[in-house]
Amino acid sequence: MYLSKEEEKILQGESGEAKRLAMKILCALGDFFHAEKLIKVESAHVSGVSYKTGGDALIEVLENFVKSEPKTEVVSTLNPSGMDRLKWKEMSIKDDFAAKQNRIIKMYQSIGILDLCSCIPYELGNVAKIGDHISFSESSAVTFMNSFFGTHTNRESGLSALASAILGKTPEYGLHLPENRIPEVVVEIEAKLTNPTDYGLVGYSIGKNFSSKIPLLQKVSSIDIQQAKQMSAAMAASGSIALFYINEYTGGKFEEKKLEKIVMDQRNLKELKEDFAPTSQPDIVMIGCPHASISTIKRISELLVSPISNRTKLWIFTSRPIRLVAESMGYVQRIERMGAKIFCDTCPVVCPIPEFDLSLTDSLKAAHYLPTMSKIESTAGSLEDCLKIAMGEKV
Amino acid sequence: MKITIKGEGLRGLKQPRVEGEALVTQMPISFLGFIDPNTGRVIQKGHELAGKNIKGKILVFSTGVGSTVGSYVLINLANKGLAPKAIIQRESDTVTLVGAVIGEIPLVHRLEQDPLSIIKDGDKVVVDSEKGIVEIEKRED
Repeated sequence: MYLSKEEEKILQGESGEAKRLAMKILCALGDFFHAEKLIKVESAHVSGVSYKTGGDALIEVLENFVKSEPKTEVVSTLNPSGMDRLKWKEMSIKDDFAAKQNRIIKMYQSIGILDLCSCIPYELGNVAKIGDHISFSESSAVTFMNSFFGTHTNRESGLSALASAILGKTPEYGLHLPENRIPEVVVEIEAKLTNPTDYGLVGYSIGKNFSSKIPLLQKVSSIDIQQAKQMSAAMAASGSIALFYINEYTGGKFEEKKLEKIVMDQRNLKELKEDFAPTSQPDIVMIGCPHASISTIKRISELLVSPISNRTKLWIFTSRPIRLVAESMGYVQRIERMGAKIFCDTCPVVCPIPEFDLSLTDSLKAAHYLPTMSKIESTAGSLEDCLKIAMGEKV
Repeated sequence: MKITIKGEGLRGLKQPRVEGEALVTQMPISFLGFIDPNTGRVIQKGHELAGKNIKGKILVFSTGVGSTVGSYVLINLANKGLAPKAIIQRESDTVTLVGAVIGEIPLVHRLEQDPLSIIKDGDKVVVDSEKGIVEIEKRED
């Protein structure tokens, strides 16, 4: 990869250890994936925050980075951490974990990375326009940004996004190049998708079947932000899909004739639903993967008409700014009166969840990761069904 | 029988040339949730490698999928001495590559022949990350 004189100097360590390490990472990527040069990014989003997922390696790597006191070059935001920074005791988090988690967040803050601790930075000010280059980790946000905002980002790792945050650059390869953003498979959706979880189910199946291809979805009657969030997260969890198109909605005219084509009909959707449907009573219901939007929290406050069953817990995950608004609107109080909890700064996937046997969630991403990340059997259903079961309705 | 295949390797590592026993999967890997960080044993239900240990192996797989935090999982394993000795991928991915850069794990991809069909479990494999080559000594049956 070509480096300018200035970039070359950074790689030699003339701008400090953090920038050298960052340049080393970007150069390895650029060389490996045949980038010609580094390009400017508008913003970055950095995963690798939870002590649970990053472990001591995360602390060691970050200590190396912050020693030379670098500052971010572009707007950069932080992914969820391993706990609610105020209510961690309610999550049965141990003191030692909390101390290490706070240390990790402090180190990120010290370089200027905004501590949103959320996986939906695009709802919280970290956005860019169509065609802009960004450097995002957090797989669900990558897919969402590429597919719905038309911004260009590869699936960065936490560390390569951190490198981009510090240098304001990324190697020009992969999804930064228009020729790599062309659909590779057509999926005709004949099934009727009625709620965000249905979109998640379809996304999950597409990710599983096509791993890293770019799908073009056809015959989708409509898609909103909540549906798109679930679909993006699911595709990026079961596979590594980083970009999909829904032709009527997300632009682009493509030659479709030569592409492999599959159909997903009502029967496929029914089978997927059955695969994930709970067959016994869950002891924990989790909403908010990706983080719940303000509209979802409002809806939960309306749908929770009776107290949560004493056999089940209901945990809702969102970002702190959204919780603040939900509080001032009275949604939080209404939800908590029914016995549910709303946690911030963390999510079902990256927090150490205390022992439960069976979980129910409206998110296919959470359902995908819970069995291995937290050793909890997982099931999935629509938001409405999740809440009904949380209020005691029999499965 | 010894076969040498050329590919592209991660350069600039302290110990780019290693030798070990191959552990091959036809399935992609998402390092987060795939492995027990304290033992190196694969814990992902339904994965071909479930129950096996990747420690000290030459891990051969198609590409990395899933969570972008996977790099730290690899670095953690490397720091604890539980990482694979080297990684061979059909086509690498950002998450695995960055984990290899910081974890100092030799990595080769884009081989001239498909590593997933040529390399079998138990084959003795030499990976030279600097030269981007893989030498395979087939296991005698």
